[in-house]
Amino acid sequence: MKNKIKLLRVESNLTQEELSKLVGVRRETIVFLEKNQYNPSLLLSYKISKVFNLSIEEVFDFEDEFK
Amino acid sequence: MKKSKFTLTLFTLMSFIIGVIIFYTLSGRSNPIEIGIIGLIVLLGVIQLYNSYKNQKKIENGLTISDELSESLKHRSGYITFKYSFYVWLLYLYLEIFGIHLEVYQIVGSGVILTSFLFLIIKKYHETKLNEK
Repeated sequence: MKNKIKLLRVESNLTQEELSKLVGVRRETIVFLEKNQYNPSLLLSYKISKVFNLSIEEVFDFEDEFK
Repeated sequence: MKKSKFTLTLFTLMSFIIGVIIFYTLSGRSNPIEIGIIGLIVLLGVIQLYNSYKNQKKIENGLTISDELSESLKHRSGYITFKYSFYVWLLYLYLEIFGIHLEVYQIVGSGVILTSFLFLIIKKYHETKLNEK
């Protein structure tokens, strides 16, 4: 599942460490998320979207999952 | 909580090392397999101590040390370790076949310790090679 976390994070002037503190996960998890190597839980997806004031669909791209 | 874990690990490890030194000094035993097993236990303790220290530093900096991904990795590594631990026990059968006789306590001791190392290696591999795609 692709996502725009890196783009949104850079736009928001946040470091990986700051984002990880905001959503309560380890920095390594943010690294894996940005590389699209990990599909987060619904709760974590919600927390991340909330940080950027966007909906889950705007942060995560589900289209590839249905192809 | 995590700080007490570090202190507890340090205390346990130091007690174990001191106990082993006293025991071997008084008894005069020198079985290389036993010493090897003890060496592996001490090495595991040192690794655990290092991890506790790292986690303590992270907590002091306000970072999270455990989340859904780390839990998932831990569970997955545990399952894979369980699967592959059968090969560890199989190894002892081969040793017996090839004429290397070990005592039961040596087999159990080294088997458990080797399985622990297997877990650490598998967990580290998954942490670095994670790719869910």
